[in-house]
Amino acid sequence: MSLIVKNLTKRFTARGTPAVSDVSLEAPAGGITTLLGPSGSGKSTVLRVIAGLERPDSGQILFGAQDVTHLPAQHRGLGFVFQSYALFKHMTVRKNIAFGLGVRKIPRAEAHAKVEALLSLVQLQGLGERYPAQLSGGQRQRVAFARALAIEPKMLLLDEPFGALDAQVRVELRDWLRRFHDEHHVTTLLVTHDQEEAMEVSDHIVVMHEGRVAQAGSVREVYDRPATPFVAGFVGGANVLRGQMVDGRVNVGSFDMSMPHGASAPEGAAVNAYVRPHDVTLTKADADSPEISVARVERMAWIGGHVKLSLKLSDGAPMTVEMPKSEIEALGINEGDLVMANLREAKVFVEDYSI
Amino acid sequence: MKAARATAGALSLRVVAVAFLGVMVALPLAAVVGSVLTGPGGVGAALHALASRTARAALWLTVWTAVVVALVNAVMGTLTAWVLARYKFFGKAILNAVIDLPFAIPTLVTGLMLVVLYGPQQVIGQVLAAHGLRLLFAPAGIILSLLFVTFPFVVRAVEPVLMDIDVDQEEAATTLGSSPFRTFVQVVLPALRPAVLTATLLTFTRALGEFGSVVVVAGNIPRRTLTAPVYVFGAIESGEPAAASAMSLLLVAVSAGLILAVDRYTRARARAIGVRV
Amino acid sequence: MKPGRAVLGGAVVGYVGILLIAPIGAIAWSALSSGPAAFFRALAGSGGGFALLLSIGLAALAVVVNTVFGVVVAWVLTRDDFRGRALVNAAVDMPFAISPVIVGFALILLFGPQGWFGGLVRALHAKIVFAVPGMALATIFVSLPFVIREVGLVLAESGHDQEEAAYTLGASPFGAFWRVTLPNIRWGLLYGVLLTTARCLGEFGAVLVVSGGLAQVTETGTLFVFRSLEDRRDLGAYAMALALAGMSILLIVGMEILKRRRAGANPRQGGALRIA
Repeated sequence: MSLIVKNLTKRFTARGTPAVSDVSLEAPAGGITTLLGPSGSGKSTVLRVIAGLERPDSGQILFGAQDVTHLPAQHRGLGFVFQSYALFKHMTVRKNIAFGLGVRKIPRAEAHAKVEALLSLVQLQGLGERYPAQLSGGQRQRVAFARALAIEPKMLLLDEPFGALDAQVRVELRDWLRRFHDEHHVTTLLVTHDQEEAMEVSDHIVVMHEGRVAQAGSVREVYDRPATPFVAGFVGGANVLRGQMVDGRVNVGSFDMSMPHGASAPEGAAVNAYVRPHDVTLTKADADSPEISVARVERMAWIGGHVKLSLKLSDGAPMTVEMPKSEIEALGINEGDLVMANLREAKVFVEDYSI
Repeated sequence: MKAARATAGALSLRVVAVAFLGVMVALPLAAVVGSVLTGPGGVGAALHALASRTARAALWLTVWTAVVVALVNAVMGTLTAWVLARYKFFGKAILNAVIDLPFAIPTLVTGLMLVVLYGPQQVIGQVLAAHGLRLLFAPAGIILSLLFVTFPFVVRAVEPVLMDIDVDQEEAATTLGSSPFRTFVQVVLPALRPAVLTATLLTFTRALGEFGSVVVVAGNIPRRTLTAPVYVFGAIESGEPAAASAMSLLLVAVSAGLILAVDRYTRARARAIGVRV
Repeated sequence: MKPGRAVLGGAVVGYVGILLIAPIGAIAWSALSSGPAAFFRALAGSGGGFALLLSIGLAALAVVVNTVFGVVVAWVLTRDDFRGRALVNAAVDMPFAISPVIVGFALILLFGPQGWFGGLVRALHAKIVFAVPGMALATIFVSLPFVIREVGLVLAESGHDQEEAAYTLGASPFGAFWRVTLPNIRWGLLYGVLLTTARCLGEFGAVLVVSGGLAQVTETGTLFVFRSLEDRRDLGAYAMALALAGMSILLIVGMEILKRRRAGANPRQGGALRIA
């Protein structure tokens, strides 16, 4: 079942900016769509309006062809997973999962079988009689999933479901979600501020910022072709180099680039270049290297298979570079060395528009 | 606290606390117990006094009115706490303050207020009398004054639990298709059960010992509207220490026993959810 | 508001109105219906003024005693751990359980002429029962738990962290208490003091038994009301009752204000009184 949101606006205070402002998005049927954004971007509010837990001030919510904008949450048939799990503390795991079945008056035997199947699905067989307080965070969240899935929802809404979990557990559950989705294809809407999680799990991303949609598209689109400086900086992380147009070229501090084919910008216009940490190549500097291009390696952090270098450019600006461990070793670069940085790719924004 | 210094300081604090409570609480309790054990006639006389028809009737009246009041409060107190915690309306602050009134108003004044409001000379009193309802000098009056005096207990015990309940759980139930009523019964109520239980027991205990309001409202007619505490008072005034001791000890034993049970239960629950008590 | 809510809200407000508000209105009307001059005459006459003062005086004494010792007990209960702590905890709740007349009776058993300490009292030429000291003891007993419970609540919530930080910074235990703990508990403490005061002003059963009921000597506000009723001086009774009720309401207002302060200082909601 596909989801269409049209021109959604929701405010919590009479004055000031609305929490959600004229947001429109589409979640394709059977895919995982992620609402990605920092705290306060309105992503959770959008999710809660879709679930019916909040009422919009204006706009429409459509499930497939059905307008559900004014349908009470009770009747929307969605599965909602909360960041805080929201398990019923005084009910066993089994009773938690069976809750929605009880509401629908499913006969006891059938409900029991369903609960067993779900327990296996979330790999919690044998823990049916435990209480939430006796489970770990990851286990609790899996119960929350099972409970939401029990009602065979038209859509799964996940509100920062892994936010409260340990890093390791987060990664495991992320994998589990992706595998589950590959098998069952329930339209899923995921809200998160973790851009790594968004990129790993999503079919479709909607980036939100200050209550509005900044960009929507596939993961690659949003990453490779960010529409706004915010998206460029938020999704994937980037170095920001500031400068201006000089002689038709983009001049940002120590770097000088030509414009992309067909693009133009006025002389002297202020520009920001967004450079991904791994779009920079380094070579060791020698006596012949032009001073302007030389940077000093201030710090190196060896993280697993890659290295994160903190550089200080010739004009004093900092730059973060990420390179595979093998390359660094081949180049023989160490802390304190002087290196030359070459930008493989940069996303340049002139004031409010991008080149 | 730093090790060596703390132990001496902590010890002296403990001594002060225990001594204070020992003198103020343990001593009077011991006196009541002692008066039965060492009084003239000892335990035998005490039992004999309690066996009198007046005493038995007083006990029975006290117990059944306390039970009724506890049950009514369990329901009305929970509902009131729900309204306080979940509803927004004009005058809520006033309602909130009014609920605490019985904590502050002297019980004697409570009794007097009820007499003034429902007495046979008043309009309401006459209307009620016409329908065969006597509030004053009747068990109904006792129940009414007890309801007044014990009203805040359940409300104030349930209120913080209600506010602590993760609204998440109720929202989760709604997304799973539950109606508001079902959500209240299956998700909210079980979470409230311990608080309601302990508060109801405490209401019962408090009602058991109520004196000031009852002595004015009930008329204290032996075997009709004479409650146990008033019986004790009467026994003291008329110089029957054995009867007074016996009834006192019984009341103290029951109340103290209930308090201890509630304390135990509260601590066990707190341990279960990991709170240090 | 949805209809179901309106019904429930209305039912609750109606219940509270009939149960609590109507009686207060009734007494106010009765006391004031003869005019303010008559009200004050009835109040002040026949020892009413003394009775009020005695009530206030006993309350003040009980507040001081129960605050000082109450804070100690609350500290010991929340910050310390020792065998028998559960017993101490239960002891604090006892005054709630015991009927006031039994309290008075117990005091007579202890300090009366044939009491456990009767001889001692006589030897010291002191008067405890049928005199103000006995009433003071009774008042202290019945109002004992409030400060302990309220301060205990606040102490438990705020945790020991801040005090430990103070110790590591070199503060002495008493210094840390004075500069760190006390400011933290002050609203809860004040709230407990107000509860104590209200309870003391309202005490009746215990002082009735323990006092001699002698006007101008051992008669408190509540005893004055009782005697006025017996002497058929109804207006006097109503007037004092209204005065006492009025003071209670003032205390309640103070308590509500403090509840908000206390909720602000500690992230806890509602005016939960454990019991009172």
